Amino acid sequence: MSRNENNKPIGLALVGCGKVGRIRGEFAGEYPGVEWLGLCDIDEKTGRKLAEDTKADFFTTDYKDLLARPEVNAAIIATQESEHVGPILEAAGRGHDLFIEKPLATNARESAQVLKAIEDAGVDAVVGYTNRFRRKFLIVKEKLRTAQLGQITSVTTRAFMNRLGPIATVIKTENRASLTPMVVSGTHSLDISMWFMEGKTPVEVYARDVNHALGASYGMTDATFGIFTFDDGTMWSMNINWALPENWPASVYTLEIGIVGTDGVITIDDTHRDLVMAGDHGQAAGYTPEVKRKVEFLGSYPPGDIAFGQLWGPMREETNAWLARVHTGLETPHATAADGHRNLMMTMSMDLSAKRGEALRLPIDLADFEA
Amino acid sequence: MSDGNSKKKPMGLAIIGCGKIGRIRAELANDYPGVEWLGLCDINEKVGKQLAADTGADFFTTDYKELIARSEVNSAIIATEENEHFGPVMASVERGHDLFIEKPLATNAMESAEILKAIEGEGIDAVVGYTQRFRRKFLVVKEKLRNEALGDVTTVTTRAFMNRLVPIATVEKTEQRGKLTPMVVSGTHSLDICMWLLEGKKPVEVYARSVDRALGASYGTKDATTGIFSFEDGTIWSMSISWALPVVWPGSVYSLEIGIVGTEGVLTIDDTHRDMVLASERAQPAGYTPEVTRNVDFLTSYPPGDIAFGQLWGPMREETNAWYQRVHVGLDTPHATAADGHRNLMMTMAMDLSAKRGKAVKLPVDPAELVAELG
Repeated sequence: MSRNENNKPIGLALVGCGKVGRIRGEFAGEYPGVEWLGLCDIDEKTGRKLAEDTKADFFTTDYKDLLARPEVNAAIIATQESEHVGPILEAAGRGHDLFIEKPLATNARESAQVLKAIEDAGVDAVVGYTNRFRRKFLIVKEKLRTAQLGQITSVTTRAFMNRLGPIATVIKTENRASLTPMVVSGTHSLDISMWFMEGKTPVEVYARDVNHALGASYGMTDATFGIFTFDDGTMWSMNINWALPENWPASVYTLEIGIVGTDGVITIDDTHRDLVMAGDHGQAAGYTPEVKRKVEFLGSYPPGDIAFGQLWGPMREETNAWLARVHTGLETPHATAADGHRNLMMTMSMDLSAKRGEALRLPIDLADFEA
Repeated sequence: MSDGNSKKKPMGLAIIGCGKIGRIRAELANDYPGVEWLGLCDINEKVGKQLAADTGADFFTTDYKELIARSEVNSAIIATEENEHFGPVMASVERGHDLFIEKPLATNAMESAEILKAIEGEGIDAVVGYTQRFRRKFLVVKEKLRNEALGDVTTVTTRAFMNRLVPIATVEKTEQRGKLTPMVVSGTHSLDICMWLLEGKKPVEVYARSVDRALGASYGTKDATTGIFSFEDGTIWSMSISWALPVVWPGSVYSLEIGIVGTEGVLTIDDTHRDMVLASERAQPAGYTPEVTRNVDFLTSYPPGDIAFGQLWGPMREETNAWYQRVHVGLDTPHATAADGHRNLMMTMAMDLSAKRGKAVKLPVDPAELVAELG
């Protein structure tokens, strides 16, 4: 029982017991406010193993079964990207607090439908944009929130990713064309940048893409570069290339952001070149531990790093902060479902502009994405 | 006198313009053995005569035509104010002198085209002062790209961040502020480096946006311009510059970051100068505006170089001496050509045009169109 009677005992349903579900499940198992933990995975072996490791109270392969349990009042949706909609709608319909791995859905119309269901049900739903929980970005948010740069006028964002990430992503699916650099990975940089620019409304986007390196072998785009214009005249150059060679020392994500305001500037170097390891013992690379490289910028794997058998880094902070949000009502900087939907719309609008070869007014009608 | 090698061309050098840059180049000329005759010109007699005295020049005049017509002269450096390049360049071309022209060729797109046509028509060897090409950092990158270390280059991102001290000092000298845009005045250096690195690729479209919140009201110039160039082979290049960083930003002049991705490799360049940080209770002078002092400084952000032991050390020294060698012994050098200089002006102006129109612009743009719309 909790020291504060106002705290809400958590009955947590974890739907999806893969890599990220496991991380969150382990933290939930250790969080004192979680009084009941139920798990679900379509792969019974994987799910039962996690249930055992976390001493879960319940396991099923049917998410509806889990979400309908009377103990449940909160849910984490950590299924495959294309399998978010069903569990979200079910959980929202039952009024559960929600933590949803990004994206809300893989297509614009379903994302809008999910957002509407969440808003209609009035549930507190957040989306897993883990990087908001890094001290580096939180201090910048704080400076911007308190207008230390005056009014922001221009932002540049450059995300450089090792091609190991997209290759690992596409190998899992035949539906490769929808796995674009902006929708899958650029969305994280976009979320951070839009969070920094909170309150500004984008009114136009122009984007271009290229597919010389990953196009032929993997049917994917290498890079997308775009410029967003906002209603107050602010401009933002958003660029991602996820086709960097495998031996690029950062095994996953590197990011550089520059923010200029009327009275100041902040530059962020998140390339991870502050920690360089080189050695004859090849080191496992981020999402693809079977790939070993001898030169590595440490710290480029977004969720965090395993040390002493535990994950240390933003996904720990993010998960525990969400559990506190549900349990004690703590105010947290999580991305909301509305943020998540906006991020999908903006990333898809870059892809659409690049495809059409012209600038697009924002917001874009859902039907335009489908056409 | 020449040292006996008949291939060497004894230089009779005319330097038109004895300001800050003219002085640097003249002092180096004085120390270069292949320069056998040195003549100077400046409309400000006092400034010019002082430099003539300091460099032991053979001749001084306030009339560039008189200097360029001297029988000793076979090469010229045009280091006059930006708006005053046209006359001395055309006079030198007429006489067949080898030319070193400070950028830009001209401030007007049609005049720039006219200069280039004259230079090419007369077969003159003319180079333009894009000093950054002479930095080891960029030369080694050029060498890697030239040898296809990255495979085929597919994307480039460029971010130039400049202290607002620079545009403020620049616009205070003139009433024609609308033309002094971040891309034309300063972004051109980043653009030149990137186009040099992308040599052989042809731009076919640009889309750009500008903002003028910080410097617009007080100084009548833009804060920032960001654009995307597309090339005929599908390459994309994101080029952004803001020159409205606050005065206290530790880089007192220029900082630059470039990322180049090819089908088989990547190269990232950090030229922000944050590798050298000086913080002191004794405030230090800032780049082009030494009267402004700050307590925190990223050293080496002043593009020409730094003064140590009374001499300039850095890329402008290399650039100037390499040009003297180019003229004197026929050394092959990586200087920007007049054609590069003209292209740079066209591309920077095309960004401004796209930002003004609020839509993408097909390239190349007709110089007449630029003059008509940008003034």
